[in-house]
Amino acid sequence: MENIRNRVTIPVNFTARKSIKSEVAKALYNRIDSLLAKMDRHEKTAIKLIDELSLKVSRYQYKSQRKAFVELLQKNLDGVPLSSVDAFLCVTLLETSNKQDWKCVFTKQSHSKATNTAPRRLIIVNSDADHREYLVEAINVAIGGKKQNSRLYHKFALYYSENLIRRAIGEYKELIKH
Amino acid sequence: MAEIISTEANYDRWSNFLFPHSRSAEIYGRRTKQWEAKLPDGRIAESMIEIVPAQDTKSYTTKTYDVFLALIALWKERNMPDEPMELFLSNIAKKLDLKPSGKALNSILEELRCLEETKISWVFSFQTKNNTEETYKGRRVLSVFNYVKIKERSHGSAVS
Repeated sequence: MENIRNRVTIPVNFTARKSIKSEVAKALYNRIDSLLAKMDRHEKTAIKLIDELSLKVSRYQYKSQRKAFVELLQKNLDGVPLSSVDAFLCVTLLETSNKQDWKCVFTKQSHSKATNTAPRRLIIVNSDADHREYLVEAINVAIGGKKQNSRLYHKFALYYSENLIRRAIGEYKELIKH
Repeated sequence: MAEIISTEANYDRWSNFLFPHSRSAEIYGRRTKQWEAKLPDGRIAESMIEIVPAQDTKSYTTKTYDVFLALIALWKERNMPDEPMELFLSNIAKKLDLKPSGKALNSILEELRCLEETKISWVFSFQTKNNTEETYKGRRVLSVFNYVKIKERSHGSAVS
């Protein structure tokens, strides 16, 4: 009570919460809502979600069982409004890079953005292959994980300018410092 | 129009752990979550949250959290009184978009009892307005809860 009076609070979209039928998805909803209030994207593997939600690990020992689990989460949470104005939750399912598990990628989407903007085609910015390799190396030095993210880093190097990539690296470094 | 409730931050922050789904095997019995935290003076302390349900009953679930949110909404609608407030179970059912059937009302009653009987201890883990992680032991969400059946009433209703 004291904390509510002192505004040590977190907003919850009660209407959206009530609309979620699955209890497991409901248990996850508030946590994801809080996380997406601070960031635009959050991802977690099925194994981690199962542990976090206190589910029986033995029921999800096979990848196909974990796939059914993340599909249930997606069915219940995709498109559900969040507590931020005009925002809703978008859940994408991906296979992990080692192909051993599935992961849920939670992103915050805005209704106005979703309806007003058509998908944008990316323009190739760096046509020089050597320069792209140089940028991929710069990303790898700052962030690591070139082996797993090679395709992604090459995409960045192809479509984004060096200036933008350097700024993103700078912001990333700033973020991990805190 | 969506109803946005500003709920207590600590309960929401740890809602995954505090309010698991009702089929979780862990809701019967004492549960703890521990981690290391750095105190303002630089010392490393063991932070912990411990939930202790009343004997032979379950502790909180997602359903409990729904009732908790409904109570906060009703309390705010009544201008956050300091004194215990009188409520009908049907008031809570309405807030939860449930028809006031016997089954729904009994389920709400069970969750209210759970909110009164389950104890939580926060060790270096309860965040306050000063942004410090404080310790509170044996806390209950509802400190007062008296349910009065229809036949026991001269007037009034449940008090929570």
